[in-house]
Amino acid sequence: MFDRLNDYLIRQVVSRLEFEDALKLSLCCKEKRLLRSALGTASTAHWPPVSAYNLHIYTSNSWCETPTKEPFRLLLDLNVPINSISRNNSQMLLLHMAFEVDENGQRPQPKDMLKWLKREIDLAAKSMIDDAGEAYRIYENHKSIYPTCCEMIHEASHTIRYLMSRFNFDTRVSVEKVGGELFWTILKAVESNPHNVKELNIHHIYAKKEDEYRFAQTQNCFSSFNKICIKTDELLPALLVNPAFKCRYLEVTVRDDGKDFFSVLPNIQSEIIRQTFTFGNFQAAQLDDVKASIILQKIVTTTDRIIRYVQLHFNPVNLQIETFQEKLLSRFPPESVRNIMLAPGNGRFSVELTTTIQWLIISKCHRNNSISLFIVNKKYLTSTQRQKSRLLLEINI
Amino acid sequence: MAADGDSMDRIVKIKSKDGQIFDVTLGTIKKSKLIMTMLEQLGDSTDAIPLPNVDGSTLKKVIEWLEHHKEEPEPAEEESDPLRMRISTDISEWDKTFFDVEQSVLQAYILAANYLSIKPLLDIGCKTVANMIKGKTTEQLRDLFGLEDDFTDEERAAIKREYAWADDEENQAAA
Repeated sequence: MFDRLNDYLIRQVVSRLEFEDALKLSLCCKEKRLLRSALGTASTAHWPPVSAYNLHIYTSNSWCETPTKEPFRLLLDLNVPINSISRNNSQMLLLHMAFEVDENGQRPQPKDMLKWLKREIDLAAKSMIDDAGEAYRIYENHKSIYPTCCEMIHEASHTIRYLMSRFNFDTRVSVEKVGGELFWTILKAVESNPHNVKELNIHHIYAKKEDEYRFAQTQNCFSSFNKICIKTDELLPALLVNPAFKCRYLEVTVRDDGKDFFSVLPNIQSEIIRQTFTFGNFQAAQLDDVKASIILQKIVTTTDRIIRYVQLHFNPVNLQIETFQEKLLSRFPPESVRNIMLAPGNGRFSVELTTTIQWLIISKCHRNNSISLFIVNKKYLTSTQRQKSRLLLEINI
Repeated sequence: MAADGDSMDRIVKIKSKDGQIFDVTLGTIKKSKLIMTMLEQLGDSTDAIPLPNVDGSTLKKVIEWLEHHKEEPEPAEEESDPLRMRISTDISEWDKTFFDVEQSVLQAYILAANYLSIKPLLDIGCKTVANMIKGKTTEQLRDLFGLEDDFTDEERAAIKREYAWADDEENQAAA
């Protein structure tokens, strides 16, 4: 069967096999072409990728730090041998990668595949270090010693690229305390491999100012995420106002006074924006006139969106935009606004004030053919106390 | 639309490696990207299109397959979802019967589909081979495909050591 099929056709067959079956096929005989075609090389992605969820990438520079596993239901940790020490400055880098698989779900993963991956990662890292020269000592109680941080980063980047080409990640990628080269490697790996990641969680990017130019290189990556959560103020202005940064839902946590965030807020393109402060203490971030004016601009922008929503869905002929804006701004004075969250798809617009979260609900009344805009405290949303909502504006259509 | 329907009724002549000439409608042969490209280059010529890599008996069966599937729309782009590539169970009963042939014939179908650039036919052929492999032991695969166990005892022992990590029983014993 296989003697006349070329490598491409063999791969077409092998790519439809589970790992165990492909392995057994490759062990049938030592004929090199068949073996090579079936197993492929580390850089090719024709192998059926492992489907996994919630990739979690964490680095630390201390042996004492251990990654938290709390958010994950079932974790398969890859103890990637990047536990490293730099001789020169005694800095240590631990790269921890973990991912979640659904063993009881519809896409169970063969355990052999995971074992194989771990082994291949070991071999890849070993061969790379061996090539570099005999001066390097490797794998002493899971510690690799490198002469410089660059060596560590290089190996970590290699490992990440290798993994990302072997997995198909769903749902989200969490990047925590990952900086510089590694962060960009991860983004490029997500971009260049066919993952279905919908959400990117970035916690504390350690990136340099010089990295700003790389945003342009990751344009497709950012636009492929539906939701991006950022818990950092490093590079925040450059990130958020960059034309490449296009995600529908942005959740951002800023520290201190949120100065950087407020400075770029009017220019953020995301449809839904949720912003909170790290310490949840709004008193620490009292609005001054400048910030208030920025938020005012944002609310005006929000108003525009609400008006577009009303026009699109209800096509009213009697909508008085100025009146509407005036009423909205009087109800939500800029100095009281803490968060703004827009969810125009379902006609709800959340505005979080310093004391409460209120919903702006747009609904159509068929009885008198009008559109009503109600303000309701969020805690009454699911209760029978909807009558406590206050009518903000009624538009006859 | 009428013009489109008329053009799909146009008769195209194709010639196999052994000189057999087949008359097929454009509507039937349109799934072959190779032939459609050649038709574009040939223009209004009525000469038979030579297909030197496909013998007459295989070409006849390929035309039968195309005729059966001619009303079906182009399949969704399989490669865009890597997980879909692994699906090999979605083969219709008709196709299962069609591909229930000797290995040499199945191989000829796959090679013809690849040469003629008929992706749906190639996909089903590869899925059929994948299904033949699934769940079999190495020994069974050797028997199935006529592969010779050409490992020496030393090589076999080395492989056993190399792939010990995949042997659950050994791992448990070691633990």
